[in-house]
Amino acid sequence: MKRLLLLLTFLLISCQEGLDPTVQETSFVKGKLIVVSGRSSWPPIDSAIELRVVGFRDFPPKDLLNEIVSGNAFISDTLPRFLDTISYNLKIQNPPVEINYLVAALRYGTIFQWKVIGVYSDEMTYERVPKKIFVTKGKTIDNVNILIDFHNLPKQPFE
Amino acid sequence: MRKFFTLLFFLLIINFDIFAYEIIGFVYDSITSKPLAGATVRLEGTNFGALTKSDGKFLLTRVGKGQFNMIVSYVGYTTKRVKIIVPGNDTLVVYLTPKSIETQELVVTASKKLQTVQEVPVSVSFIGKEIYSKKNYVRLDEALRYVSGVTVNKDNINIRGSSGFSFGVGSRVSYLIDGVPMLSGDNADSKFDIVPPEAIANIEIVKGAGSSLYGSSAIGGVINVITKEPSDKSSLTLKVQSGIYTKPKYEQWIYTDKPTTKSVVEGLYSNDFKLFKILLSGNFVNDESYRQFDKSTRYNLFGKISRDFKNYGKFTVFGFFSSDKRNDWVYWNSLDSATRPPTGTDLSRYLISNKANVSLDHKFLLTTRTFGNFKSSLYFTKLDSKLAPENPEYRLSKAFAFYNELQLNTHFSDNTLLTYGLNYQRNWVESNIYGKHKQNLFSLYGQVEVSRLLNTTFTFGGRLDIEKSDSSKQYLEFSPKFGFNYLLSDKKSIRFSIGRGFRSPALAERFATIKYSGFEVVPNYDLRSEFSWSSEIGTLLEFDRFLFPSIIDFSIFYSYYNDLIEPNFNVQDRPLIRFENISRAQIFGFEISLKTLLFKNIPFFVGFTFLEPKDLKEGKILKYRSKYTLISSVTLPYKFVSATFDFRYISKIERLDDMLRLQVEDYDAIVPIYVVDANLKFDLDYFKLPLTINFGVQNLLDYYYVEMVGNLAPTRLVSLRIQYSY
Repeated sequence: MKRLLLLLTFLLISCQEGLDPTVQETSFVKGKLIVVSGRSSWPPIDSAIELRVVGFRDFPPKDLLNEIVSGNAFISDTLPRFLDTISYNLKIQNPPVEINYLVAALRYGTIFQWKVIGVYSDEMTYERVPKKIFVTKGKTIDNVNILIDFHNLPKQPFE
Repeated sequence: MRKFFTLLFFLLIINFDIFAYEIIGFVYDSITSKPLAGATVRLEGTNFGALTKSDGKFLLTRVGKGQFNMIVSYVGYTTKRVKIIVPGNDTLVVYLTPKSIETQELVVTASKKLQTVQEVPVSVSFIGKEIYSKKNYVRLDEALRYVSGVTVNKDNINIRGSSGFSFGVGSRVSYLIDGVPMLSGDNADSKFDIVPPEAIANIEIVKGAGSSLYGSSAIGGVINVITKEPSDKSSLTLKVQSGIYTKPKYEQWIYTDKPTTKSVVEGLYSNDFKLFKILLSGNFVNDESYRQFDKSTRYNLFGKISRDFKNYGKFTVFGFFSSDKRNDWVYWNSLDSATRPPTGTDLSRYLISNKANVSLDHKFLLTTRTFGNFKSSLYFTKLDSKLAPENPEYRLSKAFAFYNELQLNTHFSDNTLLTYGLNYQRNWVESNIYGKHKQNLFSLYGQVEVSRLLNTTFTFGGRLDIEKSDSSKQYLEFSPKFGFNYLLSDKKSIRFSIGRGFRSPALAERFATIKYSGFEVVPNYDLRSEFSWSSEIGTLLEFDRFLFPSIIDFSIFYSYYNDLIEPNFNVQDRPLIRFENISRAQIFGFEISLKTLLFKNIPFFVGFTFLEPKDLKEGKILKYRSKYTLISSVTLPYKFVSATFDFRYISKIERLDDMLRLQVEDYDAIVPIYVVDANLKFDLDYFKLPLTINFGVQNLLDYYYVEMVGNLAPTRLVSLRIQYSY
């Protein structure tokens, strides 16, 4: 009987903790999307279906969907459209991670049809050089703002 | 179709020959000589049987002339096989010897005939009715979680790795109620709330391909839920149960200050009205859930009427109605907020799922050596999202499954039995997502069993299935089977089996047309059946004089799967998802279980299963499979109190579908599963009171895990049940 209780106790003690939301190795990148071309410059609703911020580990990325599916990109929740300024919060799993290309992406058609409308960069040229972000464990990086100019869209990485 | 019914009618008319006899006898305890009420008496190789009355008396009617083996069994006693000659002059008297450990459960599913577990050539697990009286379970799948080699993933039943995860659509396990298939006509999925647990007599789980007898869907195994027979005297059972989900230990997951509850009312009434016997059962469950906006209410009613006509055999009609109303969301918001629906979920939305069935079972004697069993069933399912039809998320699906089977068992000699039959099934669906479609399945099967030949029972046979859906080709499947069981002694046996299994695509897989969040699911009219070959070698060993009386079951198995049906992403001019025959896989593994009685009165069980599931196309482990499972149970009895502890461990799922990353936040939050359930039962019959009180704790350690991606599994539930029986 004692052996049985010992065995049971061993089994219970050896159990892992299970899911725990408090020990997530998650960090955040936060900031604003600023539409410098103004609210009226947004494309019509049927070609501005969904807006998200996406952070890619590699630059240039191959294509948006495959990079997300293979774990090489981080994607925000769907963001509001047709505003001047939009706040975002990008969750980064399993840091430390180097984000080499942080963009605002707009879906203009099916789930596979996205275009980059803004890049986290120091300049607003067509070739906008992406600015790297190093995200450490458990940290939140604030004020990572992305400028969007619908009259001067950046070079598309997936074309 | 017309020919089938003509043949059926012809058989029903001619079956009632005049060479029929009665067998009368008594069953007693061999030590006390007291009569045993409720013992089962059956004729081997048939489905004919009777229960003994309070004076131990039994009566078998409509038995043909000849020599038979009669199997007499009773819980807690050694099963006895008695050779009888009909007609005989004497009243039979059978003495059963009490036994400390249950060794020879009687099963009917493995070979579509009655036999002991020790005689079957495949692995069979058995859940007795006591499981639902000992534990505060309210659905039958709660008990299936504690069967070796079986895992349950929401509505998916997985036997030895045969199934991954598909929301239950296209079950790879044949699901039967009293031998009648109960997979829905549209999704071919299993519903586990259709029978109140109180109405369940036992559950048999056959592991490995079983299509040679059960046709489509039995690619990974068969689960047969045997319901109770109406009793010979008036009996009533009432259960009231109430439980509370304890507060989660993480602040992030607490969404209310009030405790949430789960309440159950269940009952069963049975009586013999001379003209017929009746059994009625029902339950009502109100579950406030451990998650926000996840409330569900469900009820079901089950009824069974039977009558034994002296000249026309035994007729049984059973049926049920079950309804389930629940909130309509699938994945959590995130691990941070695992008890909440995704942001933006319309919280007023709910789903109503209704299920109804009526079935006929007729057992009869066709000739002196041939027994027959005709089954007919109509099963209706309806899922309604209760949205306006113009809403893109609107779902309404109504489906019927109409099933007919004629099975015959002919004894050619004392040790040769032929089991053969034909069946016809028609599924049809009317739905805004699947369209209006029909599916016909027709089959013929035969199996020969030669027993006691060099201490071995040989089984071989096969089944031919023809499947045709509208707008698709006709498909033909042949599923052969061979097996043997060699008795080393009456307590040790070796078994071997090899057989083919297949699964015809569900109407939902072949015809689904849904547009959702930029994705488009399109039909595939050319979708073929998937198939498997399963083999197994195993042994069942019983030790009386070992340290403790024990039974050890060990088996090694291998299954090969081809043309597995899975959703596939295609990008042509637009992104499409189609169900396609895309995978080849193999699963190798072994299973070992030990059942024993420690210190003469502590029942203990432990079972371990190892799987090596491999996707042969990708060279990786199959998705949604765990390699190791361990289950264990111990009951500590003391006078009128008994405490039961159940433990299950399932290793971490190693591979998921990466596409889920697009839909499910923290989709890879997966951990191994360690769950302990505890039950304390007070049997007040000890004080001559017709009451039982159960105090149960499910998930005692409040361990947090998922069975399905992005879905926190039930947290700790503490419940109290009071049961009254007379």
